[in-house]
Amino acid sequence: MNEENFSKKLLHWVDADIDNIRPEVTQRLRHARELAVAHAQQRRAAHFGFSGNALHRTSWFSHHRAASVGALLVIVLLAATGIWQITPKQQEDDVSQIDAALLTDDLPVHAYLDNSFVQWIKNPSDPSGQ
Amino acid sequence: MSTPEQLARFLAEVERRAYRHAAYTVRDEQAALDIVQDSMLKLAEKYVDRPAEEYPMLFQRILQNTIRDYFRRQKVRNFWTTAMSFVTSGHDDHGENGDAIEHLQLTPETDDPVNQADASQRMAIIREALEKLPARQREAFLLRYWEEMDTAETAAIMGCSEGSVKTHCSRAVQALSKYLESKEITL
Repeated sequence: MNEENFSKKLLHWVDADIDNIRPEVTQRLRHARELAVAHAQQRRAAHFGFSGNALHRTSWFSHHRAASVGALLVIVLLAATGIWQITPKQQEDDVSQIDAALLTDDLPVHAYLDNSFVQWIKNPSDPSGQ
Repeated sequence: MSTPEQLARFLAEVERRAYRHAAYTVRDEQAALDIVQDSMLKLAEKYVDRPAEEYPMLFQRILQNTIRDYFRRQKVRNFWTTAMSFVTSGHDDHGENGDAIEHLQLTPETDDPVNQADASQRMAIIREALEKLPARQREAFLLRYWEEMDTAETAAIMGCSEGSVKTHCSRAVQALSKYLESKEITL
């Protein structure tokens, strides 16, 4: 009898031996299986929960791509306009303040000692210019 | 990607064979049940996302590793049992520490119905023959012929070469045949 034939015949008996497993053992195996499957379901739910959120976020951005880009452009435009509006106005204010003081002869002596009137503009009441 | 239902179906198909496989190897019902349960949980925990076609191979690998872990733990327990019995020599040897060694003995199954009929006797002898095989031979033989894995898959699970699988299988068949002959069992 060759190896394969012998194995087949022997394992026929081994297969039959499976039916001799006691019901308590079968019950415990079933319990173990249910535990494992519950574990797998939990893991799967956790996995899909996480992926689902990521997917949801991705799909929201892809569906609203035009709106998102538009909103971003508006924000950038507003910020640029704000900066452009505020910066020259501040400079103009400073110059007009000096001009007004010169014309009304209100400029104190220490202001002339201050190079470009920088310190005087910051704190006109301080005679030391500090 | 497989579903938990596929996993449940797969486990239902293999659980009793896995239990028998573990029981032939560890010769202890409770230990065999623990091994199968651990293997199922490991498969569910680590490989639930894998395709269902990969389950047989993965499960067998996990099962064999869990059996090996069991023997490793037994070895450590036996070492300490021996050490303790050496220290406390002269004391009662039937205490808790003796259990580890008893685990490795062939325990007669008194409530097993395999003692009356001729077929049952034959089955008991076959079971005994399998249990008496060296671990690697039994592993190779059961994986190759019972689980119907090919030589390459068996080698991958056992972590050895295909040549070694063939050698183990051949020796296992010879040993089984010799044992059955000695018990006057013809297949």
